[in-house]
Amino acid sequence: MEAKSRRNQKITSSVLFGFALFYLLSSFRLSMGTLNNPGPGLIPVGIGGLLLLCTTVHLMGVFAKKSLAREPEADETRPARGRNYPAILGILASTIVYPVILEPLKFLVSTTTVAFVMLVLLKPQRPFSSFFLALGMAVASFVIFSRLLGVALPSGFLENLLFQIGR
Amino acid sequence: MLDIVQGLWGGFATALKPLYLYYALLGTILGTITGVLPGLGPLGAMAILLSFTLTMDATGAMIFFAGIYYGAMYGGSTTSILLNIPGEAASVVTCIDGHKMTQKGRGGAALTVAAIGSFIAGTISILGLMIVALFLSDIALRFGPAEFLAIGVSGLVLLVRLSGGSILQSLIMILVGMALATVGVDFLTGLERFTYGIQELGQGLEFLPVAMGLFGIAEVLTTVEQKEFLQKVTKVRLRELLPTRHEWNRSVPSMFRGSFLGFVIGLVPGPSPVIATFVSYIFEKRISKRPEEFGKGAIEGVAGPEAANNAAVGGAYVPLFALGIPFTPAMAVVLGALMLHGLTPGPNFIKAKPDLFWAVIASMYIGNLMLVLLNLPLVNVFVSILRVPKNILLPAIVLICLIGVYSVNASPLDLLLLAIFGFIGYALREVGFQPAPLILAMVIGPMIETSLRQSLNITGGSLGGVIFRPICLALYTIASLTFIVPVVLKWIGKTRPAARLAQDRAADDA
Repeated sequence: MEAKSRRNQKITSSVLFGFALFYLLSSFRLSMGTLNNPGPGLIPVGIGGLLLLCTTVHLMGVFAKKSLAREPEADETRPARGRNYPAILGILASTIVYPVILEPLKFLVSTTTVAFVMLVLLKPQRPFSSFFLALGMAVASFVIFSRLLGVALPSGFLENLLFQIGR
Repeated sequence: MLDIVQGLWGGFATALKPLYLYYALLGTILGTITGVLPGLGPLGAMAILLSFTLTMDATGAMIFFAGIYYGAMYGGSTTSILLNIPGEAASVVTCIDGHKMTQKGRGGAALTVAAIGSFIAGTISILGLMIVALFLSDIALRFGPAEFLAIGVSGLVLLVRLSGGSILQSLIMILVGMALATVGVDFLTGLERFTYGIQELGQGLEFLPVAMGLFGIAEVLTTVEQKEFLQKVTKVRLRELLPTRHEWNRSVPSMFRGSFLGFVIGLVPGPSPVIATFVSYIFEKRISKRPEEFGKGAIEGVAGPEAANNAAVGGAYVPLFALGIPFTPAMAVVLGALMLHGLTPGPNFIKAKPDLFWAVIASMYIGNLMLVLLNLPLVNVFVSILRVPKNILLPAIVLICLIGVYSVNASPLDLLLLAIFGFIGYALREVGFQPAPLILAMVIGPMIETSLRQSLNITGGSLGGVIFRPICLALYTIASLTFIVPVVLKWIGKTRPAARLAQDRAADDA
């Protein structure tokens, strides 16, 4: 468990270092200007330089196994944990897929699909009830956002039908 | 003084309109619900519900958010007292004595003391907010870009020092936030920065998907790994809610002390409500005639911290309204909501938008009253929210985030940003980074850059002219001292025992 946490720290620290390096190099392409007439690149170069310094120190600390950062304290608000990577990846995938299917499938179908996937991932034993729950969530969110809050959502036949029934 | 009375009168006339009363009620209820749920504190709740405010006017949005903030503070204490589960970080201290009181059968009294304490603190902090914000905004009208730069920089420095976690990690988060704030068209030259040909990035990274991702989606992903919130709920009967005369006598002075302490701490950058509760608890224990009772169900240990965290909320509004600078991450979200409505707070804000300022102040009074009247009788209802299965609650939160972000610009890029920042927020928390300083720096970043470039322009590139101005120098000194003093104290602490040991040895030898 600790080894996994250490590995995660190394990955995160490396990504942050990579981001800092990329940001600093990109900011050198912008004009720095002078001190009495600063250009658009002056502040980014300053931020990038400091960020690179901090992430380097952090990276060295993590790789030297001398944790500079305090270990995450046992948070009293968070009870015991057990990894559920399929659900985490599924929820993340749903948020990425949702904008892709929203326009072609319209609101109700796409929202029901995404909600159904998440519900099944979190409780795989009940796919049938999960479907109706997902449908209920989609209809409820359509009513709240579209009817009550006046948000324009991608609508097709089903949405228009729901709108007609609601009148 | 007459201005204050007139302003407040006008504020109440606005805040008592049925629509605004509805927003205040909705905010307090939603705030209490999110406060009750472990993990989802006021910041997460505000970020998730940010898109809801788009259908409201700016006044309605501010009233709604004030209700959420107060409600979340109160909701967090309910579960701390009854179940030993702090709904959010500022309620951790309340668990110590609050839950012990429940075990002794005095949970109802603890809840009432927490509610009344919160109400008194809310009222005192609103009075403080009115006076200090008006006074500070008058002074701030004389500030130039160098002073605003000093406030922004020293605010972030204090945040790094007081955030509680690793200084290096907080500093990295602040710098990442400032880096993200530089994406988009440069305001002075019109040149695009870090957009990589993506047109939508020209306006900069949208605040809504970033905030909702870092605090909404990331919280969901973290919560997936937890067990169900609750198995058994302690019920409270209405007649148990009344404290005894002895309990009143012990708790009322603590409420007032906590209120003043909390308001002052609320003015300092950082997670002020959390700090306020700890400081108040330690203070109450130190001055108590019965310090041995602390940790075993001392009512002062509930009254003081509960008053302090609510008062800190009022204090946190001061820099936002008077200077236009948020000192806490939650205030950064409030600023984000104001900017979504086309408003940018600054020293002129109270004078330019008096209706909004006074309506928010008045709604805070109303919201506090609503909390006392609603939450005590409905305490069992709010606690039963913890019975809603996680597998239903989490997809519902994700859907609110998705539809909420989509509803602003109907932009697939925003939804992608939501997913990306959701993952980033989750990954950062997993290794102990707190994303709160990132969001604060992202909001303050543009102000710091503008102020620095303007100051350098004005002073002809002289850094001395930017730093060595009375107010700037004072602020930079205070910020530096927060780093120097702990090091010196630590050094003194280390050298004293050594010196004493050497003296003792010398005496022995003699």
